[in-house]
Amino acid sequence: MMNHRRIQNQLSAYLDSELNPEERAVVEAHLSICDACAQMMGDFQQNRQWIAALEHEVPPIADRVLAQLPDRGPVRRQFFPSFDELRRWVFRPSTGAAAAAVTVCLIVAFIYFNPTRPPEDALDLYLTVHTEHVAYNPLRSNVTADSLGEDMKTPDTTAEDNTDFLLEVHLGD
Amino acid sequence: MEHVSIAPLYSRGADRLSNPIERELVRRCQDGDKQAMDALMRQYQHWVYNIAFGMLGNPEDASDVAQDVFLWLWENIGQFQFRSRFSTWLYRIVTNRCLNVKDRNKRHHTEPMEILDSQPWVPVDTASPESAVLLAEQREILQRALAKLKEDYRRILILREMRNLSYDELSEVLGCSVGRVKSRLYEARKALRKLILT
Ligand SMILES: [Zn+2]
Repeated sequence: MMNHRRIQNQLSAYLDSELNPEERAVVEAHLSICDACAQMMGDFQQNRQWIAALEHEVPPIADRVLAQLPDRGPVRRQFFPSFDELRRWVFRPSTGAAAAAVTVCLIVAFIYFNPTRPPEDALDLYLTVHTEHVAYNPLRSNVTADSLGEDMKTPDTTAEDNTDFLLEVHLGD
Repeated sequence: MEHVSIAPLYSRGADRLSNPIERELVRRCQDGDKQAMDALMRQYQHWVYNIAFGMLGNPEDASDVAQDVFLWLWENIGQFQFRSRFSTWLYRIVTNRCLNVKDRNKRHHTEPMEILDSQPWVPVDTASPESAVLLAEQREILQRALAKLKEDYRRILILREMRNLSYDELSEVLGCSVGRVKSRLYEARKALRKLILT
């Protein structure tokens, strides 16, 4: 079978009912034809039942503790996160990802709508960035400039002209 | 208990909080009501003790940890901020405490985890004496395998298989992402299977 490894990776989540219906169907189809993976699944299930049955009778812990509890008044409730909590929150991967996304957005917004320029420059820059896609761009093509015809070497400005024309028409009324 | 972490800031949704009766018990404990503390302990002593037993492998340490945890709770229950379920917060405290105990034991003497199983089991409905023998054998095999398992693996398996915590709850207790929970559970199950088969 070609995908034992991929299926076995999913078996644990399958056991926990954490797969979506499509993933479930793929796993079940494979289990019906593969003895090795079905055996692994059977072992996972058996071990789960064994651990679930690993329960001991509890000694009288509550009684013992109750006898030792000192009297006390109300404790101070913590309404604000401790330093440890804040530190863990700041270093979570999702916090980092969110911070990175916000930074990228700010940089892009700054380039597009640079507040130090006059407002019409921002629109020009926007159009330049977008017309680059239709003009010659060596990074986007495996064709070298030399192999292109002479007329292709100069950037094509018709797209920009068209945009200006369309804008004029649009803004005209 | 120096390594205890507090309820996570990022738990989501009110539906994930403890039920109202339990919240009221916690509030009364915070106000110094010993009766409420007694009720809370009776509700959780079974699982606190059994999680500790599963992680430590012997009744004396499990019982010590359970008592320590409840005594600590009485003094520090103000740290619970009703942002997560009380149970996941408590399980986090218990498992961290078990890890501290193992660290301490490791520093003092180096023999591997001992399995002392004189403690009575919770009775399981067994159809025949033969199946009772079989059950005892299973437990013996399982406990030996669990004792050899990596600390991280034993902890996640006990919380998942014994307490049936969801991936979300596991990520709260262990302080890692749900993706990490998923992959660690798979690794843990594979490792346990290998130990049982050999
Ligand atoms: Zn297979």
